[in-house]
Amino acid sequence: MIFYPFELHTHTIHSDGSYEPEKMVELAKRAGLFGVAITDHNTVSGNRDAMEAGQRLGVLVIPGIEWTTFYGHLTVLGGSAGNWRDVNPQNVLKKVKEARLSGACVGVAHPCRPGYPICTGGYDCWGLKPKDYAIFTHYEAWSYLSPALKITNDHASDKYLEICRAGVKIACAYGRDWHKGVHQECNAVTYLGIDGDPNIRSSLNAIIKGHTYISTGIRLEAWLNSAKGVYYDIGATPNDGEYEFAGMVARSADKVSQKYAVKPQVVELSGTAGTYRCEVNGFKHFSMTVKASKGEFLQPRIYGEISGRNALLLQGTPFFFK
Amino acid sequence: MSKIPNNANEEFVTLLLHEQKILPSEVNRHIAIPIRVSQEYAWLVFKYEYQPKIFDDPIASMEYIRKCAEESSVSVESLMHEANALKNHLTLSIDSPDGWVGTAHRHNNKLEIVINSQRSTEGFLPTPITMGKWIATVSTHCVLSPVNVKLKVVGCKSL
Repeated sequence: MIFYPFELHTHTIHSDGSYEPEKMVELAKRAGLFGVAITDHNTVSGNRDAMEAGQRLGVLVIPGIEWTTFYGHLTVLGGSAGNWRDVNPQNVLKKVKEARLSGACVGVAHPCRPGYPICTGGYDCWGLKPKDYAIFTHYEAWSYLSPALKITNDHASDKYLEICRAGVKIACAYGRDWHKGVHQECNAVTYLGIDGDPNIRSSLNAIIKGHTYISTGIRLEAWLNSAKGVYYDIGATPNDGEYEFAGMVARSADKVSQKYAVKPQVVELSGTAGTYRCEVNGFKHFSMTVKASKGEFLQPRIYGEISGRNALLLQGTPFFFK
Repeated sequence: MSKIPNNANEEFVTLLLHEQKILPSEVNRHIAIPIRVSQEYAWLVFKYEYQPKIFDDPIASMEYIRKCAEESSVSVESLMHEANALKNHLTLSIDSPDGWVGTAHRHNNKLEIVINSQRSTEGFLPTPITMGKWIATVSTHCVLSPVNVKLKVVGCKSL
């Protein structure tokens, strides 16, 4: 499995973005991204041009749409576009299930962003319980720019963990909600762990299986290793027991780590199975022993500095132990 | 209120003139406006406009900001830059007799949307102008003050 950097939430001139689809794909390539999802508000008309540009430029383009409803925004990647106008709090789970059956991934976008009337539907008003999120594939624990420094992302990360504590496995995602060029603030990326040939289907499978992590400037190559020599990638579902969590904290393929002076300090695995920490103080190898029982989870996190401020620099989909 | 002009023999045919006032109590609704297309056209043009865009009530704006900050657990100060920029936001979707064509979800309150089998305006799929019932849907995402909506639909017989 190889983890590739993606942007999973973008807008073009087909809704309220500033760039033509071709330009968005070109910018994704220039940013060092392997792939980009086009998620225009309530339309799919820009997907074809973006996919053609992706083939030309060597960027994997995932066609999508953002259901921009009155009650919440959902990014629908691949599959059928569905009818966003029919989606409401009473039927949202049924509509998400229909989209999933068509082959789509459906994610919760910026759940804690200020909503009406600033960003209508921008705040998650579905009224769902943590267990209900099991039908979704991914959850934007971070969104927008400078994600690690925004209080709304702290709230979203807390809600994400609340869903995990309910025993629901849902991929941890970042959405830049990329509308236009802004150069003053840094962005994060979503890394997708893809088995075999990277294409639209295998990218969506990575999300469905939860092989994802989100980061600003950091690449995490790490596994849970059992005493029997079995390796588990981020987001996997190992048996309960004792493991070595080991790997390397490296610079991200994009330019964020250098441009914004990212300094990883502590690697953490935390969750209902406890908190395990290992100091790295730089881009280095690490190793720690962890233990978890059936039904518990441990989420990978990396803390450190960005532009001189302490922040959470990376978080991933937890290991859920069976 | 909709009018259906009788000008069927001309090159450019006005299919619909629609005006409607939408109140803040009508927020979060999808208002369907039917359009009867009874002959072949090469393309349709939808001229859509609503007024006002800007919500010009500083006192009411501050109350909205306070409520929004409370709901999303952020400080009022962090949203103050939005206080003078609250806007009405009503998007337009189009359905042909064969289904959804697309949506113009953008902040411009004056739009001209062209639908054609080869190429349509951004936000809409290229779609042949088939005869039957078309629907324009106004989705009331944000209505802070009474809004006047105008929609004119024109059919053209040749490219």
